[in-house]
Amino acid sequence: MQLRRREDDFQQLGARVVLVGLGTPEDAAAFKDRFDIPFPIIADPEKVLYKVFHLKQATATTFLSPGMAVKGVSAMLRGYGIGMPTGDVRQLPGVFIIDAEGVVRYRYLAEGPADHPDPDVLLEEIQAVLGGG
Amino acid sequence: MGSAVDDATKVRDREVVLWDNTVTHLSRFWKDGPLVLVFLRHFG
Repeated sequence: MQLRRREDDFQQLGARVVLVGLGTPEDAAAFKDRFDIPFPIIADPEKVLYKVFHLKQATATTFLSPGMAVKGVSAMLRGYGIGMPTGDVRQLPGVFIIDAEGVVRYRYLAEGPADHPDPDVLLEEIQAVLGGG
Repeated sequence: MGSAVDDATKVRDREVVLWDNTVTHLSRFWKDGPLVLVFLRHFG
């Protein structure tokens, strides 16, 4: 998980990273422990937050495309997607930056299973939020 | 695909359950500074 490696950078900006997962609290605890995740994890087995934030779901076409196979292998090599999945495998990820007033200032809705934002982009967006931009 | 948002969408605060079974409010995580909320595909 790239964000884990950049934890210090997010902390230096005063930003809090929180994960949301599809499983139960027990699933989240096991995941946190197994991969040594330093961030809090919200358990959302009913996908309430996923629906509120309009996260997308993959289609069969998304999964079966050659480009997606390449991205999947690449993501695995970068540390994503290791282990057996728990939850809806059609669910696509996303990232939101929310300011201290609870306002969404940045959103990244993945178009595919291996689609993730660059942590450097997130850090830039946080700086923009802090700078009043 | 990511983009800065300028439509001032405010998140409605709600209760959430954490990995340790703690029940808290989502606002707890943004009230002291920017929150990066990362939605996972699945655990594993």
